[in-house]
Amino acid sequence: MNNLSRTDITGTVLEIQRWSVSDGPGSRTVIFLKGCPLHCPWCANPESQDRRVQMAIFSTRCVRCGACVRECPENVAIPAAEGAFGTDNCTGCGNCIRSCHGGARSWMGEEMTAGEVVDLVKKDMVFYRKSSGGVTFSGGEPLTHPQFLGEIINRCMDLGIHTAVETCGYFDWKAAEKTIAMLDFIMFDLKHMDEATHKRLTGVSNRLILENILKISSFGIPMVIRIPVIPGVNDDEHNIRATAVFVRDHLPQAIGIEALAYHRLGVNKYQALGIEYPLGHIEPPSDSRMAALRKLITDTGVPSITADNDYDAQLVRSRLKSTPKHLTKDGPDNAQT
Amino acid sequence: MNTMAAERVTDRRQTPEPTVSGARRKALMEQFRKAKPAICMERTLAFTNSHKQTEGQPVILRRAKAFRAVCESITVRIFDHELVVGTLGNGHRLGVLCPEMSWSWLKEEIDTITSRKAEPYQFTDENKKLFVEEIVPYWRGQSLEEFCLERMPEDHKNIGIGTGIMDTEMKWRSGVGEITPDHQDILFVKGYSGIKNEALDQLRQLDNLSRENQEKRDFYRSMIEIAEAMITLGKRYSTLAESLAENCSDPVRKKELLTIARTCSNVPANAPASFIEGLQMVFFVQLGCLLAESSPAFNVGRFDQFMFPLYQADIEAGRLDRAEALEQIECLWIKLSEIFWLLTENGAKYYAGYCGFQNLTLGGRKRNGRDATNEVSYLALEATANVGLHQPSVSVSIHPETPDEFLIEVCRLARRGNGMPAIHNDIIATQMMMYKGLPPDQARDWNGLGCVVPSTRKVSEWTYAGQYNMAACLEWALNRGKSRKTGQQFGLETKDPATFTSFDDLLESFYGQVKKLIKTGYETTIIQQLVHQESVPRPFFSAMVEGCMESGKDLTRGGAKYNAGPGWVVVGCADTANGLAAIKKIVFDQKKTTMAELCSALDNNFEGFEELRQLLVNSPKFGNDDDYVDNLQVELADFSDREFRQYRDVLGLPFHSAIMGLTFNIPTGNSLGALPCGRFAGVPLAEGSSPHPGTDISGPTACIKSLGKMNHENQPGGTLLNLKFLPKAVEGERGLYGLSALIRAYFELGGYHVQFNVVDARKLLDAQLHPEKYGSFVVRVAGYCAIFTECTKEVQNEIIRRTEHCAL
Ligand code: SF4
Ligand code: SF4
Repeated sequence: MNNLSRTDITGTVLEIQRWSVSDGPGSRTVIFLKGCPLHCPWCANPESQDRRVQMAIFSTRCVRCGACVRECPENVAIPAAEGAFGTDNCTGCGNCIRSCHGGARSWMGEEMTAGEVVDLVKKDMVFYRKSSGGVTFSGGEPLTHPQFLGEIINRCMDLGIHTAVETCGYFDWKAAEKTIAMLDFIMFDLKHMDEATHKRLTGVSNRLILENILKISSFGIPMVIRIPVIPGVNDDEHNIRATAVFVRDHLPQAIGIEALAYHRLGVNKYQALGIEYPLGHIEPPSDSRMAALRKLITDTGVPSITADNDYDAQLVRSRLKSTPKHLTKDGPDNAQT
Repeated sequence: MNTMAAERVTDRRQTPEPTVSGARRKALMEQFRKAKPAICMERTLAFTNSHKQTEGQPVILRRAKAFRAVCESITVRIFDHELVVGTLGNGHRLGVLCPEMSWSWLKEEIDTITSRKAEPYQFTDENKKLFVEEIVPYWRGQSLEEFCLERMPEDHKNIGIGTGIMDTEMKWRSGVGEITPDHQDILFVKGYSGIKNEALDQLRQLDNLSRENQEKRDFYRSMIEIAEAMITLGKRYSTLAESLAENCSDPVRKKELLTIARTCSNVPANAPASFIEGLQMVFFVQLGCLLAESSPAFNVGRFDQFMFPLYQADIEAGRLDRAEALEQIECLWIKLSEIFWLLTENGAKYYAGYCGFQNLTLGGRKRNGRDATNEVSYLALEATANVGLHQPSVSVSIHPETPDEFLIEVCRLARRGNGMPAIHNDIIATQMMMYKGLPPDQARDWNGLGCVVPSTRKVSEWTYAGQYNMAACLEWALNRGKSRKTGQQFGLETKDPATFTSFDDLLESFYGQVKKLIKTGYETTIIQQLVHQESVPRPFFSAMVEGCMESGKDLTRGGAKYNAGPGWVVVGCADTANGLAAIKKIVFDQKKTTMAELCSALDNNFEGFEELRQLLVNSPKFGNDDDYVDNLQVELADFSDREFRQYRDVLGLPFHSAIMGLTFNIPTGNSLGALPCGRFAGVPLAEGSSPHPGTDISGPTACIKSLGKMNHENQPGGTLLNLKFLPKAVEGERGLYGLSALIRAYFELGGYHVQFNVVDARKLLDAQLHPEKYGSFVVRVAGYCAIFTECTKEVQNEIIRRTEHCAL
């Protein structure tokens, strides 16, 4: 690491995941940033909600050596096997993590400089080239780190790396505007169209989100709208149709809607953080239910994006900066073939 | 063929309604599943009886005559629904014994062979009696095995037999195998009558009977015997098909039988004149290979290249449509799965799953550098997906101009989760062949051999002379040459590790051990090559490789136009690199422990040293794009190459190195104590050049980057990367593009081979518990395919254990 990147602007990175084929066009490196203004109970990355670095505890890896207990200056650490950890007296000195031989304790999140992030992103250049892929920023809400993000994207632009963001749409427009303008691709979550329900579910109103999406749309950046389908929460036909109609009528820039089936793969993360899983009773939607909802979307006149969609065709379009197609019945779906 | 476009005779997306339904495939598969693998003694008996009558004659001629006696006498059988026919004797799924190579193993295992866990064979009491009373007495003292063991010095035997440190069993107990018939320039051009006529011509041209010419005369006479043998075998099938047709009441089947009769009256005697004749020719030759010497790696070669002209001619003449061609290919695939290489109990443990390593290559480039993909390439992929059995071992060759469409189809097949096909980098394979000494145009025409070895129909070589356990050398460097498991002094008595003051001290001791082990390996191979030359020349194979007919010399004596030196396989490369990196980091960089403490931790298999073990486990591991350890892996591979290259074989050719390897990682791991990478005693080692299972935790791109740093070109016996995915990670069209981009990227980085296991661990665990639910569930085991439920538990666990790259 050179000195220049040491003095870089920093941000809290939760995780960097290499080789994802489902977070934007081509093969991608996904950068998860910490901190989210929403608190959705179905969140698969609960460790991303808090902006601060947190400690995770993996009980099965604990070898009960007691090193953490011995090394903790505050006398608050307990062996991972003996339960979750979440004490306010912890100063975050990290002694217990460094001394843990079992790898049972780790920080969730790390302060990184933009330079460090880009160095990691660069490692997979050959894979982006071969797949027309790039880097995707996820979270948390990446656009709540507009400066940090802007710096990384700037450097990626210099390197010719395609950039995309996964956003919940809840961020300060003024602060994020410049950063957004540099993006090549946007994946925008619309969780519920009804303001009251949205507030009940996520803790915030959707008004800012809808305002932001309209503003983004005016930038002409290719965009996919994502709906996390949570049975019994937002999967009623009324909501799905309302979302599709909104997309059809107001977002000419959108390539389509990607309905994502809720999954429970985040469960063990809740355990590691010592939080109870709030959606214990909800089953993931069936394939047939998902198919029905996707049909509803296409019936409204909006293409439904699935793993079988050719993202790459859209990427080529975004590179050529061609005028996006309006979402008429013979819109992008046919244009792809 | 003039244009590339013309090689797609039909557009697959616009295939008209299929003319065949797949019912034949289903019926054949049903027959296949019902048939139990068995040992047939017909070949053994005929071969032995012939030898009784030819005592005193030149060895090569005796072997050729014995082969002819086999082809004239074994039972010929045609089963219902078959379009491609032939068996190794009286039965359906058969293997044959070559007592001239080794009989002792079967004698020892005679009581367990039908009941053993891994690959049991049916073996009738009558056959057992025949074997003990007729076969064994004749070959006692006369087999390749006995000749080799008699010549090997005690030291070499102590370290090289049954130790898991060095192994050459496939060359002292079995024929060489490892060859690709030259269909393109020999068999599909002149057939066996052509070969016979050439031999007759050559005989006539011998103007004097000098010593050299006497040997040539023996050789040409052998060629005639071989050709007659194959011609006879074909004629016998033709006659059988005709008589079956006569008594057949079903008019459809009758017609098919008459076609079979016609086909077998033309091939293998003559060049095949139609697509089906080409397929039948291929199968007759595969039968001949196994009857001549029951060994692994008789490759079909570049199937799409030599079959395409026949396909095109039939299509254009309206004699064949695409669906029929597909059905015919499927028939061949099932036949290739029926015949197998007989395994010892030990071999069966590690070469899992009735596997013959009949490698078949698709795609690649032509000699003029143009892309060689054609319609038959696609048909072959489709047949492989439809049949879903473990043979042939399909390889594909990918180069920058391979059509994306083909690569996507390759990925679609790979994603089915049975580990096929093996995906190779055409460019690197070509360079490997050049490193083995072939000129560029020949090198470009390479084909896959066995599991992942680049070879060609033009070359004669021992691609797998043996394997050595590199991690053992690390163990010895840390234990003054002694095995941690048994205490035996296998290696050099190097310095006391407690006295190492730098990493270089360790490297010096370690490389000293490697040098010594490699030298022992080299000497062992020389002994074995000499015995092969003297006692088991290869007339059958000499007939199908260019150069032998011209030179009048057998393959074992360098008769082929191109020869390459023997290849030795490194096992445990990643474990060694990881171990060295861990010591470098923990002992010398961070000074968190001492050499003495480390050695006692290893002595105690880490019992009481868990904290130290964790430090070792968490130090850099190969497969995570970390130069700290990746550099060591590269250095180790390069060292192995340099060491072998300095030695010459009996023909004066340089040895070479490889990092591939079947399931060698299991016995080699078994022989070792704890290793400084944090691995416990007895645990299997890394597979080929892949990372150690479970230690590549940074995702497939990091793993590929690590592998990409190696000089694959200087491991011309092949390198192997096994990536396992859960289905979720590669679903949809996106998943296919993702996989294809991974392949393109790995190959751009200079990687040679990659294969994918796309399975979910639960399915594998279930298959382990309920084999009956997964009849022919095929999983690629380290470079070749086997039926999962027919693998031993150890191999099954190994498959499950491999890192699961999962991008959920
Ligand atoms: S981070 Fe420091 S204060 Fe907190 S538990 Fe660990 S050792 Fe104690
Ligand atoms: S240091 Fe780690 S392994 Fe040891 S008791 Fe604490 S959590 Fe468990």
